[in-house]
Amino acid sequence: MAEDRHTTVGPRGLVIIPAYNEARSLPDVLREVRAAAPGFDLLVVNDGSADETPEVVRSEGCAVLDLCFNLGIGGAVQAGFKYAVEGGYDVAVQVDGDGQHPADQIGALSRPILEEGCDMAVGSRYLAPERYEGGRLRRLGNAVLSRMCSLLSGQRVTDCTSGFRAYSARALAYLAHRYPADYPEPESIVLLARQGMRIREVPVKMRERRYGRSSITGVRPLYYMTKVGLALALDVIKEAPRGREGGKA
Amino acid sequence: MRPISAFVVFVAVVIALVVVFYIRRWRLREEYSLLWLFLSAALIILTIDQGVMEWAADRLHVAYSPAVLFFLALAFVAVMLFHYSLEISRLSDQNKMLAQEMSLLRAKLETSGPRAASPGRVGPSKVDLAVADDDAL
Repeated sequence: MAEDRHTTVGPRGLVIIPAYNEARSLPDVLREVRAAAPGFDLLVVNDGSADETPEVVRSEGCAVLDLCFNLGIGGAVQAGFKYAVEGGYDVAVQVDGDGQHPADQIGALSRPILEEGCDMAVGSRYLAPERYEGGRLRRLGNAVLSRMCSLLSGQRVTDCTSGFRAYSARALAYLAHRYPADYPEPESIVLLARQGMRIREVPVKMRERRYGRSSITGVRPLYYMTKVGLALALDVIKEAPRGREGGKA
Repeated sequence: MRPISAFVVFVAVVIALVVVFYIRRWRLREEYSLLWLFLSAALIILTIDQGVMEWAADRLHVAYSPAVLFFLALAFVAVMLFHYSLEISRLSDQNKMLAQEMSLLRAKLETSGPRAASPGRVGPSKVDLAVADDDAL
């Protein structure tokens, strides 16, 4: 099973699935990912769930990182990055545990990493021919932040809040070391760009989540936008940690 | 001694007693205990010897000498709060790293355990882990 893949030559891929109380949707998500990306190892990061998330994952025979308390999406995903770095993976794809991210796009998302030398590929809802509908405030917030990300990273970004992403080994090594704690998606684009890394967006079509609700509803998008906007602005004055390329804002 | 002076001295003594109480219970680190004891001593000295404040206000060209005291008190509180913000940031960072490290180690234990032959089928339960620990000892 998982061990066999390690012996085959060629790039090694890992799918990282952060999950917080996703026991209901995880079995489907895991099955879909397995079917769509059979060459990838699977890792679920259980972010201190109160439900049967860890039991469900183990009964599916999937590797799991059990965080002893809830760290939030940033800390959970970063734990996955650390696992990927220790395992020496060439590419890691982050897929949400709620079933919003289309598993059949994992291959498309990892292609820029494996074939074009990109360091991060972001699945964008706004590049796809069928436009993603969300609340108006959400779309506005995303547009403003994406604009900021484009400016600060010097690369074209249309969907900076998307959590459906693929990372190269180099990006993983950096993010395992430094990853924002909450709302990490937009910030990590700028952080990686400042390290001289290449970021590519790939059009994807996302689905409505089946269970649970988004944490960003009502007027929350405005709060999110303000908070992340300020964090992005602050990133500019942060010392670039001794990366090989050095940092340039 | 004016009533207000007596009251301030009383408060300062209470602060000192509370600090001593928590030191005895091993619940306050030395650096903090010294700081709070120093504050209590400063309160007593400034209350008993009003001349110190007058002298300081005079040197700083402040007409109303208590203003100097207010400023110092506010500055003290602000510095303490900033110090706590730094501490909290550091502690939550370390806390996060510990949780991540622990989950990674646990995952390693699970795959290298006796059940590694059937990868991930059923991970060792918490009870199994405890038993493994006993064996190691």
